[in-house]
Amino acid sequence: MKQGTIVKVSGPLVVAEGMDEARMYDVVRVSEKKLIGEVIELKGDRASIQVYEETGGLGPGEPVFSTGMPLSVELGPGLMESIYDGIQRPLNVIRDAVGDYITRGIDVPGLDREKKWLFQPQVQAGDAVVSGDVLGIVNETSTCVHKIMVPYGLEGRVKDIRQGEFTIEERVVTIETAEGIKEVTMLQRWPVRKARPYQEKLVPYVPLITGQRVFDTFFPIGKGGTACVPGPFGSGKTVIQHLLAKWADADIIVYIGCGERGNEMANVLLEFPELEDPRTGEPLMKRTVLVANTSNMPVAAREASVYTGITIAEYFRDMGYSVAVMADSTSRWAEAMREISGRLEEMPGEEGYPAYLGRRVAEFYERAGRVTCHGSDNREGALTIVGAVSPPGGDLSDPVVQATLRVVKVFWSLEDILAFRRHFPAISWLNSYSLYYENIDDYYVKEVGSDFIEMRSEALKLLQQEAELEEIVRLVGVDALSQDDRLILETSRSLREDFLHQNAFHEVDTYASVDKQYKMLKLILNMHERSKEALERGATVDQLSELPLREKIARARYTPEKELVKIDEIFTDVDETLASIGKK
Amino acid sequence: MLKEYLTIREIAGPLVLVEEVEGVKYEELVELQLPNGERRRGKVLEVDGDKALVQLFEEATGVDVFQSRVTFLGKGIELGVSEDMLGRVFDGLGRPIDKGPDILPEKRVDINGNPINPYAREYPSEFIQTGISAIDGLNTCVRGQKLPIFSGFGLPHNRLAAQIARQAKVLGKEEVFAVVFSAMGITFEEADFFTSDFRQTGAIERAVLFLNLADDPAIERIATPRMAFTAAEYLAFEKDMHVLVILTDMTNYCEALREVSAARKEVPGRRGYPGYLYTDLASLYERAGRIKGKRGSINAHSYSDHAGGRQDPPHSGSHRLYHRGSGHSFKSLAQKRCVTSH
Repeated sequence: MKQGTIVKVSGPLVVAEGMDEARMYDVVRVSEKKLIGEVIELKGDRASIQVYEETGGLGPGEPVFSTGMPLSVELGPGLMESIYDGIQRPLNVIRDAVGDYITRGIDVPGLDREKKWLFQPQVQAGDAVVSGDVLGIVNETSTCVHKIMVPYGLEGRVKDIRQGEFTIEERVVTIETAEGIKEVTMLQRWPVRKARPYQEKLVPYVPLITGQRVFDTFFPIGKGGTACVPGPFGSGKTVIQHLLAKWADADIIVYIGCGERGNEMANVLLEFPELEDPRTGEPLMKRTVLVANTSNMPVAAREASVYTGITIAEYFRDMGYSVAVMADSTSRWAEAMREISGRLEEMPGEEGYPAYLGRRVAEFYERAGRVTCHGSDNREGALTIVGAVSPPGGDLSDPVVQATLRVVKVFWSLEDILAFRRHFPAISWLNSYSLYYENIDDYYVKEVGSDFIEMRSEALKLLQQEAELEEIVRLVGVDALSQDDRLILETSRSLREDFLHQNAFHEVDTYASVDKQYKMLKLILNMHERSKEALERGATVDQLSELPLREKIARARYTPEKELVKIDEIFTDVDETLASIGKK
Repeated sequence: MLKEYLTIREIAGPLVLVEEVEGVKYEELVELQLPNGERRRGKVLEVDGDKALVQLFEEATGVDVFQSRVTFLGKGIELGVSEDMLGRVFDGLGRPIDKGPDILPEKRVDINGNPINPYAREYPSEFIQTGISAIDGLNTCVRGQKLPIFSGFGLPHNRLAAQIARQAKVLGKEEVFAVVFSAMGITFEEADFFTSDFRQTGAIERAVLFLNLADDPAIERIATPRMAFTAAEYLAFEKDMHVLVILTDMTNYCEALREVSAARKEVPGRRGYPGYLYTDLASLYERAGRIKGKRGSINAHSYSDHAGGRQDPPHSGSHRLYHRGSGHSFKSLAQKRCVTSH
């Protein structure tokens, strides 16, 4: 391969001459230090290279080696439980190799080459296979069955298939195709900037259950949907991302820490191996892939990290899994784009962001979706993206937020005012929205309760009314309200404090099944209805709020999942107690 | 023998363009010899073919196009580190200014450092008692953490900083403690407040001070916090000390960064600050922390002034922290709300 010569170095941007064989987005190795870079602009034989590592000490005259390959990730057994940097170098391997600090020019493969995996064939010699067909399986971790698929673009007849323990580079299958015999290993590569193909995209119709009441009941996201959590600093964005990563009922979680603080990633690394997956009882880490590019790691790799993460997620989606991607935070990603765009001296759009910001953001979120995967079994996979954005000063007119809101369908509005009132998760019930109601309401009606949708509307209406009444209270005081209105305030307070508020650090309260959510909501609304009747019979709100029932309702959230009957007991208690109030 | 160049073509603010150079590396340290024999230092900001753009760390006053000589030193900016640094005062570029002897370095370290591998980080969980109820009770500090304090004009954040430096400790443990103090563009009086406070309490014995005062060259400030963190990393991770790095005032640092960016005619991000401000600040703050298997730790406390209590871009956008300029009952803490940022 021909080599080029550096002519210019400016921060992470290097310009090299003699690169006439380079193609856009090819990966190159810069200087004898073999720093990893990517071609992002070509002018004649001059290539602008975005370097993923610190460029201090580089100078004109040093060589640039082309690899002739675009930036790709390695896909195969060994992905699970890994923690990668932005360009899929395993951080634990780096630590073993060079110590506590990440030095430059480290070349480590994304997947372990030595480890042997037990490959169990699913097809036989002579079977006809198409792209995406499952050739065999590997039990990667106790909770993840890794399916080895026919690489995209291959089609033919299985000539030979081997069972046993192999490394990822050893041939496991040979396929006779129209173009000749092809060998298939467990290792595949895929360029990160290109979405992996599927047969057909479908509309999400099943909710992604997160165990968080404000999400599942009020603002649900479909499996294969997209959501955005913007929020000012200190309002708990990251805690929410962690909660989702912990509890979402996806088969695989890919957590992208993009420009995060190092201590936050250390927290994830500390917590995840210890947390139990509520469904399997195994450590959560066994279904998680972490991509961590902290804010002090090179900026170009930060730009690549979201693509690395989403490509790994797409690979698991193609196996027919439901995958959830948490990207924290896409603002940092956009800032990385801005930084590189600035170095390229491109004409800026809004606030110095490049003009293609909106397109890139949309392209990224569009890689989510529920799809029919390639393969003759037409299996379905789903990829859900939850992206955090951190606009400066919590200003929602920020270009990154605007570009994101144009494409995502769920908006979870984190508000610092709520966080300061110690209402967590600090999701505003007034400003958030979900556009998946129509798609997934059927699921709730069928699976949870036929009156679920009406109850949700009723609860949202009460909270809306509360906001209006509070205006009046601020002007003339609470005593000026009618008994009915005061009851609305009482009930919506109960909705806020007993239902929406959820303690992430309480063993039981941190996760609520949809059934529990349904029962709790029903309980609160039943209290409201019965109280209304009591008021009609002449009782007063003060009388009602003195009842010990309130306390019981408030404690309903701490009912363990196995004892949900207890909530029903409170329900009947409400009926009985209130029936006796207000009677003369 | 290093080559001397007489080929300066352009001088604009702190930037010097040198032509017909050979073998120059990005971020290399540069020495300029003025016609009167004086020496100034700078670093390479960009190399383009045979042209090198040099950023001076000091004033450009007296630098001329025809007679000043430029030497490229073939290495990045380094700090010689040694335990003898404790108790000493340096200028913003790490040269002793307390009339003491030069430091005999144990080794020389590149001041830019390398990012800590997130996998090697220990999660901060050891409570640090500062003895200030508003911090301990509401916004607790832990070891290996960054704590920003936003302040406004007329507020005694210096007293607070000194108080924290004096009182901070992990309960129930006797450990070696050190303070690295990095002053960027603060006044003599402010700096003096700290030095005399450290002297009175005896803390000076365990402190390393890097002082870049308001009348020192602004560009030098860009190197000052890096010097401080380099010293802190050495003391914490090689000498097992618990180091508290105090950075004040970060606003001046950000402005120096903006000045260089403007002189380079870069496309600005928000409010004239360069697009890479976040990355730049992160590369500083993220040097705080704890490492698995190492006994020492680095805590960073940064102080910055806020005009009018509004969220300024370098602080809100980049420190990722929150400032609320409200008036509560505590007098000195009222207007400083420090939100812990792990």
